[in-house]
Amino acid sequence: MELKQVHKYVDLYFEGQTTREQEVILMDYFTQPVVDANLVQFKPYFEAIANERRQTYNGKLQVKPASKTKWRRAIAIAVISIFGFFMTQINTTQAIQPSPEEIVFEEFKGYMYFVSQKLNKGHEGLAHIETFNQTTNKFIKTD
Amino acid sequence: MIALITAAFSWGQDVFEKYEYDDSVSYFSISPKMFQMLAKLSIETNDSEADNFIRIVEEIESFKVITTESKDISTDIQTWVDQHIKTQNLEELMRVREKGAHVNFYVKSTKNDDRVKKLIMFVTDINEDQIKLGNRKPETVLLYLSGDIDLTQISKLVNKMNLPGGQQLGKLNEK
Repeated sequence: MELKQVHKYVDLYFEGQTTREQEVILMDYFTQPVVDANLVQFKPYFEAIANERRQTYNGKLQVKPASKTKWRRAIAIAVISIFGFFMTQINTTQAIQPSPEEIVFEEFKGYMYFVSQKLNKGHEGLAHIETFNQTTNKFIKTD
Repeated sequence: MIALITAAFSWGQDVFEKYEYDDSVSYFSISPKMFQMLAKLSIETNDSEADNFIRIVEEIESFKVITTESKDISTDIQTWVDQHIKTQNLEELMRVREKGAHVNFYVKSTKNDDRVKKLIMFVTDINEDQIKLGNRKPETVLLYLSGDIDLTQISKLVNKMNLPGGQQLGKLNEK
């Protein structure tokens, strides 16, 4: 192994520029019993990484059937939305029961609208008179 | 003799007190104390419609309404209103004759044209369905307001509801 090349790869590695193949070369180099004196400091690091890479899992991975998870998700969503719906229902029923002050206020509002409406009926008549006056003033010059 | 005395007594008596507990009359009143509570309540509700009411609520000291379907009580109320106008020097603000009802407004006016100390609204011969006061269909309504009341504020309430009459008034004020 050319030492120069290894040095170059080490530099590249720490800059994050190495390719997979170059990394494999580095691992191979550092797992040798003897390395260059200048590179000894990196040996434990690359050995550790090489060790990590060598680890494999031979057990069977349990993959749950997708359909089941979908069903569970659907049920979960349904349960949450039903719960949410009932929560809002509770809130609205609470809002429907107003305090005595609010009941009085609502009734008062009803009566005041009634008064307001009737007052405006009268004002409407006044509005007609005013328009009449304005129109007559256009024809009768008062100077 | 007794009849005369009772008649005289009932004339002098406040018509609201007289019919407060009468079954053929529905009675609704708000005490000054309640108005103070309402003022606080409306601040909490925090919507613009309630804000318009709060201005009115702050100006009103007392609010009473009686409504009835009985013709006899209606005549009695009429008598009381006539009496009250004389003794309290109330002025007639306006009479509105609608197809469904007679509406009379009486006020105790102040120096300011828009403000009144008392407002009495007396509605009789109600035949229309548009008057909705709960589920009742009253024949007569007597409404009594006292305080320092701005009539323009009250008439503006309907403007917010987009009724044709209210819009007319809004245009009038712009001129």
